[in-house]
Amino acid sequence: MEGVLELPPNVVLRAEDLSVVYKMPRGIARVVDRVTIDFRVGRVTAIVGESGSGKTMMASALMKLVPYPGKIEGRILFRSDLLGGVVDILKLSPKELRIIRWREIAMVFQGAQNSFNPTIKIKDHFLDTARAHGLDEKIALEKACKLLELVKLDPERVLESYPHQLSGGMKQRTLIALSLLLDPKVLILDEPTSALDLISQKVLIDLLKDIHERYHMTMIFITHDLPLIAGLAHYVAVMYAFKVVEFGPIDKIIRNPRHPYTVGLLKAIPPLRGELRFVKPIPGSHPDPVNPPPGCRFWPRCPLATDVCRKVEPKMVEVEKDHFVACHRWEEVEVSKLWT
Amino acid sequence: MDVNEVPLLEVRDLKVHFVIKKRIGGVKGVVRAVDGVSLKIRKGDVIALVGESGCGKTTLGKAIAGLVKPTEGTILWKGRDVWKMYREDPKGFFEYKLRVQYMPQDPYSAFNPSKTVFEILCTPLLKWKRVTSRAECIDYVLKILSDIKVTPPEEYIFRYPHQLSGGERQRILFALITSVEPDVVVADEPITAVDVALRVDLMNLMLEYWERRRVAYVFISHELASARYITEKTGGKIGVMYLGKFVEFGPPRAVIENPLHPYTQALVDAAPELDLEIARKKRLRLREVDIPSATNPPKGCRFHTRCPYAMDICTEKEPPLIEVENGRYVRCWLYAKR
Ligand SMILES: Nc1ncnc2c1ncn2[C@@H]1O[C@H](COP(=O)(O)OP(=O)(O)OP(=O)(O)O)[C@@H](O)[C@H]1O
Ligand SMILES: Nc1ncnc2c1ncn2[C@@H]1O[C@H](COP(=O)(O)OP(=O)(O)OP(=O)(O)O)[C@@H](O)[C@H]1O
Ligand code: SF4
Ligand SMILES: [Mg+2]
Ligand SMILES: [Mg+2]
Repeated sequence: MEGVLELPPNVVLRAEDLSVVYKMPRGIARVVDRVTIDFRVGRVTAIVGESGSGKTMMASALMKLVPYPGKIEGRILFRSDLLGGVVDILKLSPKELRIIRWREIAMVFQGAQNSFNPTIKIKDHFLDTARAHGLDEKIALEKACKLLELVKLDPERVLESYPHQLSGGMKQRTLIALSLLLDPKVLILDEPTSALDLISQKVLIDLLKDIHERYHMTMIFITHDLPLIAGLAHYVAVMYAFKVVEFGPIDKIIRNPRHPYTVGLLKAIPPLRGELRFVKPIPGSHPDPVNPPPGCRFWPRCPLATDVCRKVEPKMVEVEKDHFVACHRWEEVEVSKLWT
Repeated sequence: MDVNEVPLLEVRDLKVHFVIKKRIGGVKGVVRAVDGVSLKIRKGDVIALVGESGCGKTTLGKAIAGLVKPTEGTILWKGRDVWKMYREDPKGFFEYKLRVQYMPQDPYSAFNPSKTVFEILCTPLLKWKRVTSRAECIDYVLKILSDIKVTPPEEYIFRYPHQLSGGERQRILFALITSVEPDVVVADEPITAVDVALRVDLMNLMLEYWERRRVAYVFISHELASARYITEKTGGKIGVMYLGKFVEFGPPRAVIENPLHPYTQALVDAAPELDLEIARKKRLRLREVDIPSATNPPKGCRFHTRCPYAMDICTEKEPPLIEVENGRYVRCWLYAKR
């Protein structure tokens, strides 16, 4: 019998030493590597990082849903109301998992707008979800109408439509309404806007902001586009090479980044206004999960790298309140002096 | 620049309509994908087309490259009507198609998945007779790959498309398109599928090529900051499209810092910005969030159903495209004489 699990009152979900491991013919791939991160109650946390850095794998692990044959290691602590306390998601039985998935933690998967069943109406997508979780059909439909209105869709039209009759932006908004059907307290969104044009993107971001203000939901928003979530997120976790390398309140991440990679990300994005001459791409490429570089994984691309960086893996340290960085030379990081 | 000089390419009042047929005979509707666009492209001009999904960017881009036939209007290549050439001077048409290259929105559609990078890059060289022997081809391909910094080139020539990263795929696609040394490249959303952190890299590659060859670009994107990046670095223009028409056209700074058309204002409100104060304040002010169908565009100003400033006249009469400043055009009753 284990001791009672605990979480600080302002934390609803915590990954502890979380890894996702695949054994492949060419070697062992740790596609999420010993990540520890807290998700605060009622706050929006963005997970940013380039393609292949492990964002989707980490989010899927939070729901114990990584694709076969991936193995999850570590602990995922979650404050569950339905299960009556803090639980380790990785230790739950299939039955207990069914209770918390969708009803307490819902996820809108990457590219999910393309995985609607094309042969059934939107209405039936709502009814199927309701039935699977024992929600009364009539109540479910009433709720669906309210939620569709909330996401600025016409319920009468949309419920009777087939998926192909909706635009990409409308499908994505429908998915968000669907994910809210069972009142989850944590909503995970994996690249919900990446296939959308800029107006639909902004409509979605504004909506999530409204939803957040209204329900004070905890949200986890995964994206490779940092500016996209600037107006929405409270916290940012920057992932590089399957690890979180910097975590903190968004103001600190944008105004006082302490990891060279975060600086690189900020500089690589052309601004809408202001000078263009500071825009610089990060040279080099992202490592492969089999055989990542020893020491700090960023050293092959880092202008500050020294011998220590090449040999010793930097630990996460709290550099100011709530702001964590894994870099040996964080004190010397200066935005204006990197990649000039 | 001599204003009387014949442009490389000119688009005059172009319309491209698609007829949608009912399953059993009859016509269901007409999509007015491009509905009256005029444009001049001179050597080294860079024009970014922006606008939301379905506004006709791809269709206009394809029409410029001779890949779809206009329903109305003309496309002139060095002063000659290209669809007339198609009928009367196949050689002239061939030359135009060679000189104006289209870089597709979906890179997968451009690559045969069962061919290696080497075979992919060889095909146009042989088709357009840039090289005559296989040996010559190998040297050329290796040079192309090192030019676009896909290194080591010897390793990449034997890879298949699925073995490339998103950024590498776009670089190789760009190399493929430019291997025949075109004068105009229509790049359809080249950066959209690429990671934000790698977009500048790809745009810089396009800019280096522009510096060397003064190629003209039609750069299609729905990302305003990137459209600004590429046009500001080349003295180019941004063209904002809405339901098949230009609603605003002008230099990037002016268009972004002082957007005139209410639709351009909405695009600027929608564009992500890192400045936290701006980002937290910015909200869309559209009356309707979804774009109306291009099959049945609204009467009068096409934007009136979503426009926060719509007046009576906007629902009745279409505003003309007027030049408000030198090189700056807008199509809106707020600026036009009634
Ligand atoms: N089914 C799988 N088996 C083994 N490795 C996988 C599998 N799916 C993904 N990977 C690898 O795991 C790593 C992390 O992938 P993940 O999908 O989490 O990245 P991501 O950050 O979400 O990227 P993107 O922005 O492209 O969605 C990548 O190196 C990827 O190649
Ligand atoms: N071959 C076709 N047949 C019928 N309709 C078409 C065809 N091609 C495009 N359309 C329609 O024409 C309109 C303009 O499409 P187009 O692809 O040019 O837009 P776009 O601005 O490139 O959009 P996106 O940003 O989604 O790529 C759309 O309503 C589209 O559905
Ligand atoms: S630890 Fe070293 S290599 Fe890694 S980011 Fe910091 S300075 Fe660069
Ligand atoms: Mg992903
Ligand atoms: Mg298109």
